[in-house]
Amino acid sequence: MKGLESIDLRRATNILFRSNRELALKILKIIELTWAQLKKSGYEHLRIMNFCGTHEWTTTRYGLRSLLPEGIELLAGPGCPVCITPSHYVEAAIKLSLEGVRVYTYGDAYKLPSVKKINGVKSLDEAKASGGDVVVVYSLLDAIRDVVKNRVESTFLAIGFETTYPAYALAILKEETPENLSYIVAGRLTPPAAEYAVERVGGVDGVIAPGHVSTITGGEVWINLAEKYSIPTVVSGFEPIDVLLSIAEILKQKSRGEARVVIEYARAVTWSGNVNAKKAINEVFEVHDAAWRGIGIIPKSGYKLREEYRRFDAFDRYGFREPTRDEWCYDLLPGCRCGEVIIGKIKPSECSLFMKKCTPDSPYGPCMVSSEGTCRIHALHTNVNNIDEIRKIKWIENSNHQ
Amino acid sequence: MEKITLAHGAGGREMNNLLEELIFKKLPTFMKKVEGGLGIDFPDDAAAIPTSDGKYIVVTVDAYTVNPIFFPGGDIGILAASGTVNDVLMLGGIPIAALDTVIVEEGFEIETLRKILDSMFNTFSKCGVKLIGGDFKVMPRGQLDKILISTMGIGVAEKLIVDKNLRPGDKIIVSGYIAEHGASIYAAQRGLTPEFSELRSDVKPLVDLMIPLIEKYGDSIHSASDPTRGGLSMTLNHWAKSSNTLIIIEEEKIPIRESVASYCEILGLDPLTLASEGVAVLGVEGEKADEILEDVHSLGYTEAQIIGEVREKERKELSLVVMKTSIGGYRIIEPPVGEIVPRIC
Amino acid sequence: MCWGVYGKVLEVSEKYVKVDFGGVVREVLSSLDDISPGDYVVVHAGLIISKLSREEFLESFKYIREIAEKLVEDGELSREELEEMNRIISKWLEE
Ligand code: SF4
Ligand code: SF4
Repeated sequence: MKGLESIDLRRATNILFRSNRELALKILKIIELTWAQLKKSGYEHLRIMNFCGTHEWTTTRYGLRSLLPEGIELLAGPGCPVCITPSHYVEAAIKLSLEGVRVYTYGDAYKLPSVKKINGVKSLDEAKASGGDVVVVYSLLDAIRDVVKNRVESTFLAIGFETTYPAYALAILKEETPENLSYIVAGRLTPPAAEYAVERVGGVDGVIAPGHVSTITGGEVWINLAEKYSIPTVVSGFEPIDVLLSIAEILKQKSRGEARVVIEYARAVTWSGNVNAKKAINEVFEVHDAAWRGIGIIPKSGYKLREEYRRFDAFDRYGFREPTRDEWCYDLLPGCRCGEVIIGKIKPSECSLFMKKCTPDSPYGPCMVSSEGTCRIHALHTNVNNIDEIRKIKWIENSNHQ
Repeated sequence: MEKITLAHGAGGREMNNLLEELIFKKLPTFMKKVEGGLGIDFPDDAAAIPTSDGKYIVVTVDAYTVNPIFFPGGDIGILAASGTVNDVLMLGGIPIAALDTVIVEEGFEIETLRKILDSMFNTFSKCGVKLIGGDFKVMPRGQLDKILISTMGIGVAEKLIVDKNLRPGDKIIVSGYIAEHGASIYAAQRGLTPEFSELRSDVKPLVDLMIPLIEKYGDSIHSASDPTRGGLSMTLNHWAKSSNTLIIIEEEKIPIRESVASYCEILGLDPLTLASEGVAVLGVEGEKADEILEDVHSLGYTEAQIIGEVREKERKELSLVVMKTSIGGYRIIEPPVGEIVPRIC
Repeated sequence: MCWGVYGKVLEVSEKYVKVDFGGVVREVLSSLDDISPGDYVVVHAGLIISKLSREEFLESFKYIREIAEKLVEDGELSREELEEMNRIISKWLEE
């Protein structure tokens, strides 16, 4: 047996966690057996919530729902920085882009619709089509290099959670941010929203906690959630095997009456997290009560630049301001139930606009926009109604091969 | 007022909807094809007109703009020639001639134009295709982004390979690594070029593959396409719809080069939606599939794989493409939507 | 919420880190100081957010083994199946 030292961890992850059908079947068998035991002790349904759009993506991308036994339900929680980004940030970005300020955005927010139209335009991609200066980037570094090269007045639509924010903080601390670049600071913190969702939805039996957020925050931030609401909480990786293992662990805790935080994603996550990154965020940003689109204001859930770095704030620079608590209006267009979808309270198919007025081609609500948006994921990958169809296909296939 | 966005040209659902509204719904049925031939009543890779001796003239037209004009693995000249040749082939036609329109922007370097045209001529000549006519225009500076080439390809087919003829029991063969063109152009275009990469466009004419196959297996190849814009997922969805079948593919069998897979992973792109310019997807008779695959391999397309098969669908709505994922789950593959953008979440 | 990709560190300079993502090399920023060539890291939106731990790589399976063993005790799962699973997990190490 080769030692771990010489192994290509990238490949190993692929082989072991991504494409290991044999192992998946074994884990599924164990999930099924544990679930059978739980059912004997009276469970009919088990509702497991993920908070991370990428977990939702893994679940649909690899067809995990089609593999799980009936009765185990995977809910999608508020895990996407795009869907929860309040409209006024998008409106500000559109306005700036049309006024000649170059706006950098991650692809995720490119199509995000605003509630109000700005000069007849309601998303950055439309702004670009109307002559606005919008550039899609993959990283902050790409944007910084572009600013330095082209010397343009510019702003960065800085969406993101704990994972994305160290980059902004470090770019400011290390004086890498050019003076003609500012940030639209739309950052949010995950744990407050997770607690909010668990509380509002009720009946959540287990939580799959976001692995990459936890690389920064550490597994410890989830202890409060697990203890306060007695919910087994597993910090999970993003490969299909990771998610299956996390489900198995939640079932195990359930069957033993436990509710602990466990780090399944131990290869990347520690209990205390990335101390460096946390320190950087702390130095540059302070935490404030922030608005979540479709949800409302959640205490201590958003980032804002500290006084000494306020000069990088696009809102300050261009005279925008955050809406006050009273002005906040949930930010959803009439009929869109994203607020409930986001916290896992309803499934997209329960929204009467789903796949009617609101489609991936022309999204009406925010959850139909991001590749992580629950509505979009459901629309594209597994129309939930199609799960049954897929089960049938599985049946055809099994019978063919036997 | 609604405006054209880049998504309308991305080859996905937006484009289909727009064309449906502006063209397909507008034209009366009798205008959509020549009697006995194939037209936009069933949009395929090319169109066909019947001849008096029972054969078909196969025609296709396409406009090419690509940025950058020279990209790793090729240039706009090779692309324009290959694209049109491949479209003729995919309908079962043997390409014989082409016409072109070249439009350039004022200020374009003549030397560069010479290079581009030379690669186009070379490509046509390798395929035995004559360039029998064309047009040349110059647009004032700023009214065109450098250069646009439109090519029209003409071929002759004994028998048409029409996508709607795909039937249950058929196997799906992919002739080589997918998404290579899409990934490399994407990298070059978006300025998201990695510092180092092996990404190269696969652009090439497929005569050396398709002509022998058409001649030998004309009756066993039920459908053929080159998965350009919209990638494999677009092609297969189109097939499933037009043939009213259910297509099941296996993720593990789809040939993808590691660097392309990595690049897609970094940016969160789906390789199934990225274009190939030198790959054929074939729907072939089940019993013949292994034999055909062997021939494809011996024609030099060694990465070719049988990636899945065609099933009878259970219900009317079920014209789907379903993928068995690497760990054995099932997922519906939808045609791509929107302009492809990288994601961070 | 946060797309992350694994890569291998090639080169560390003052500002940037060169990472190989399997045939694709990119420069990224790092939020960690103790990065050296040969390390495997998790990159999110162009930023190194974590270093992959070799020691913990197989930790994930601790829980499933535990459950499986309990199931064997309960008589729901056969000892052979448990061993089969262990075999699958350690198989790749031998490759
Ligand atoms: S389907 Fe559209 S309108 Fe309905 S909740 Fe989802 S995003 Fe909102
Ligand atoms: S789209 Fe909305 S519901 Fe879905 S993950 Fe993002 S925020 Fe959550």
